[in-house]
Amino acid sequence: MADIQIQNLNKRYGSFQALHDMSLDVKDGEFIVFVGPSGCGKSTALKILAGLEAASTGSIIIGGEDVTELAPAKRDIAMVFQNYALYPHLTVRQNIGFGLMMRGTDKKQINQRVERAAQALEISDLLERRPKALSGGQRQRVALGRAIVREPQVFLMDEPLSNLDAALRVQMRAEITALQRRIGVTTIYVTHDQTEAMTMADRIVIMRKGVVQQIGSPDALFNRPANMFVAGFIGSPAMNFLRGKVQRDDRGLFADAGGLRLPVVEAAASYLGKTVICGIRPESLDLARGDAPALEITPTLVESLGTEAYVHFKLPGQQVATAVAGEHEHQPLGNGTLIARLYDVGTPLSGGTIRLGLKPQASVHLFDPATEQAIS
Amino acid sequence: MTDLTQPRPVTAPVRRSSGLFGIDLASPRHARKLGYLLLLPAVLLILGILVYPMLLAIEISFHDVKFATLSFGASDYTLKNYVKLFTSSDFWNAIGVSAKLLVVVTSISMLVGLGAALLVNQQFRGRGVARMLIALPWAIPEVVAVITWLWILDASFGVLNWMLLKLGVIGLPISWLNQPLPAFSAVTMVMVWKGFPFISIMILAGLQSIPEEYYQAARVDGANVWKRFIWITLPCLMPVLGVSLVLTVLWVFRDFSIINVLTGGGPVGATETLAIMTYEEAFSFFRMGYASALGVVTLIICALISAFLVKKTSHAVF
Amino acid sequence: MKRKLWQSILLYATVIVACAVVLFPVYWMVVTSLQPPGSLRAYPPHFLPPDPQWQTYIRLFIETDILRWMANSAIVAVTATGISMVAAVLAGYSLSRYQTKSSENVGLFILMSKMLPATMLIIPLFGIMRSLGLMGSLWSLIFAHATAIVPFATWMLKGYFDSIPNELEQAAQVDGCTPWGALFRVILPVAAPGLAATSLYGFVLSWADYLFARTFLANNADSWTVNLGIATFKGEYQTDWNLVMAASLLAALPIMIAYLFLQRFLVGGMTAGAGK
Repeated sequence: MADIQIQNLNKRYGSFQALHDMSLDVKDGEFIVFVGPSGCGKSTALKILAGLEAASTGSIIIGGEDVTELAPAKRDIAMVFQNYALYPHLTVRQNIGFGLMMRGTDKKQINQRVERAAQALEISDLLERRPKALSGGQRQRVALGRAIVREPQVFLMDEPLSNLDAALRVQMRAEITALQRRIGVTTIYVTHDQTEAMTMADRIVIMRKGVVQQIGSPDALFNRPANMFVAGFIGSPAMNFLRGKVQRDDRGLFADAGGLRLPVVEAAASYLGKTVICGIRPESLDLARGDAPALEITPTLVESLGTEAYVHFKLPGQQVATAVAGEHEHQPLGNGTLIARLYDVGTPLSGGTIRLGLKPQASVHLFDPATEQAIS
Repeated sequence: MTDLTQPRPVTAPVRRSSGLFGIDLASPRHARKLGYLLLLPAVLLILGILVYPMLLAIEISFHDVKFATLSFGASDYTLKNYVKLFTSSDFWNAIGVSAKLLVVVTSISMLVGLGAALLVNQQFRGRGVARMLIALPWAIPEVVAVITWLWILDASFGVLNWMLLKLGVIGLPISWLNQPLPAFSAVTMVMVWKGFPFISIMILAGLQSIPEEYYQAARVDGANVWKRFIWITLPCLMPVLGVSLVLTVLWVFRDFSIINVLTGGGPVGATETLAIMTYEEAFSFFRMGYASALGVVTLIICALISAFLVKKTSHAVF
Repeated sequence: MKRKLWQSILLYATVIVACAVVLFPVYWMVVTSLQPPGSLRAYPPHFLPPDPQWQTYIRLFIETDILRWMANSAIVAVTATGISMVAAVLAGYSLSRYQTKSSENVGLFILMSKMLPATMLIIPLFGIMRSLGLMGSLWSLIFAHATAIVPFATWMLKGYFDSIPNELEQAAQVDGCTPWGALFRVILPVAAPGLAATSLYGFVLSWADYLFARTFLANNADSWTVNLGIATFKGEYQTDWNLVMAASLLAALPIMIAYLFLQRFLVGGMTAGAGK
């Protein structure tokens, strides 16, 4: 177990810069998630950490030792791959024990440790099978077993859950988190799924186009996104962005977004009279009560999920379309659509107009329209 | 739950130093060097036994020599061999025979190969055995195949003549190897028999890699068998067909053993290809300079044909 | 889609006729080898030997050197295949995994070398082998065959390696293997079917060679390979077709058997590198 320092890491493929000056300090035992759409450099960073690719410049220090030039075998790390990369010609037992065997551990001890790991992952009865005879979830467990049995300094996981179906993914997510907490090995986990990042990480490193956007706890990223990309990436459904003019009246500073009065932080005072981008999470919207200032909208689509409903609507001229980012980053589609996430709506919503207002405690995130950085 | 957080067991100490010339090839920094190192044995073999002789052959072709020399610039350079070549009627005859054989054997082999592959790609019991048997000639050495065919084609007691007489195709036994057209036909027959299985094997693998969904989708769209073949099977097979075509063309153009043992190039040059002529000039008449010039011309033609074919079938990764 | 009865019958009939036509020469080899010379001149010919004679084979072993020729062929084929497999495995692996612009060029170069006409190369090779004192030695053949096998074998193996995910040896390296260790402990065992198919290809190519054997070995009857032996032998025993066919059958037998066992790997292997 060890801490990790990543210092000014750069990776260039010809003229393409896959990783731009990445620096990160990971504390011993921390669970770090690299998240971002594909092509953001998260997997490249992980491969460089593993020693599977060379850094162009910069260095990596694991447990106080500079490993930048070391072969993967000498870094005392374990890795779980997206496709599990189980050795098809070996049994589960041999797969899990392979790393120990390569390090010259004696047979008896290998067996003991393999069986202990298998027990912990509840795959003891699969030990004599070959990977071909396993289900996806079982393969996933074997891959985890292969990592934990070595008791390495660092776990590296490259989208380990993306090949599982949704239900299993939720279950394995919890199991991996619990396992990591229990054995306390420093872990770096790569994913494109913000839900995984939010639920598993101690700290999240969110990346885009090779550049780290923000590093922080899930709460920090959700509540204080550093820029529009982070704000739009974290949270589902994604944050709505509206244009608003900063104004001041007797009740204080606010942004006027198409009839909606959005209270804003004092830091926005320098934007007085100018247009800013206001980020409002779908959860922050609610049906307006009485005669409070509200948005008059006509839903284009209402998705009802039982206890909640997603109301899609458009505000021409007011809304700001941003790149939609999940696994892949898409270009903004036309004007896109805004979403309100409403709970416990009694009456049907389709047809006719509804009035949306801001929830009392909801916060509004402000962004500079030019730099897309948060105003705070 | 088992306790995994017990004292960290001692793992073997990690080795530090290692590698060739103090370079640790396992280090990510040196991965590319390892890549080149791995290519070395193959490249050395090819340089030593293919490229060096090729350069020598080109060198020799510009000298008026009876035997092969092993150094460059040992005697005066001359274009004599090439002049003689292009004014020789034997050479043009060989070009003609080679071209004729190329077109005839390649087209028949491709058709037969495609047909055989499509046939054994059908669903039927015993398909595995049929696949195995229909490509068996590939595994039979050319010399053995030719000798067997010599017996089948035997003018007096050969079984082929008997069959053709019985079927009424011919009135009199054919002396297959003593007349130009029958000799050419005999060469074609043997080459097709020996050559189509390889094409079948390639095409069969190509057929198996076409996703079944394409056919289902086409069926839903109302395409009949013929349309499915034209619009799905053929386009999907293009890469494989391209590679097979190039390999077959090169084989027909350069093969020596079949013709040498079957007809020796005869009668009266009717089956004398460039390959046969080259070998004869070199090792029967010991005109190695002249023979090398023939070889160089063969090489250039091969290169042109395959460049052309590769371009035409550019999907092929070649 | 169920086939109609007449379609099934037609299909089976076509398959049987096709196989019969293709296999007839092999069958004819067997039938001829089992008849005495006199019976071979019968009209109409016997499609089943009336009185199978195994003496032909005994005569073959006594009167000719066929066993030695086969042994020579086996030595050459095994050694040449072995050497070329080492080179081709390494080169194919490198081309599959360390693909950079320049290694692509090397790959192209390896394939181009398949284009060189053997009848041209043999002229300088004849001189080279003579100056090395390898004329009449099996080594001359071994090197020539090994080099002839390498280009296509490299290509086949590259295709196989391409089908094995990169992560497999990355996992092995993280698990403590050197790149070599990952290749030998993980990639090669996984690629075993590909290795089998490629070896078969190499073995068949070497065993079938006539051109190089005839040129390098003609003057030393002790080192003749089976093809060279049979071709010469056929010249001597012009009319003893039963003996010639028996020898031919023996010469073809080893690779026919190897083919029957490895055929299923071959189908995938040939085109492994051909299309994506």
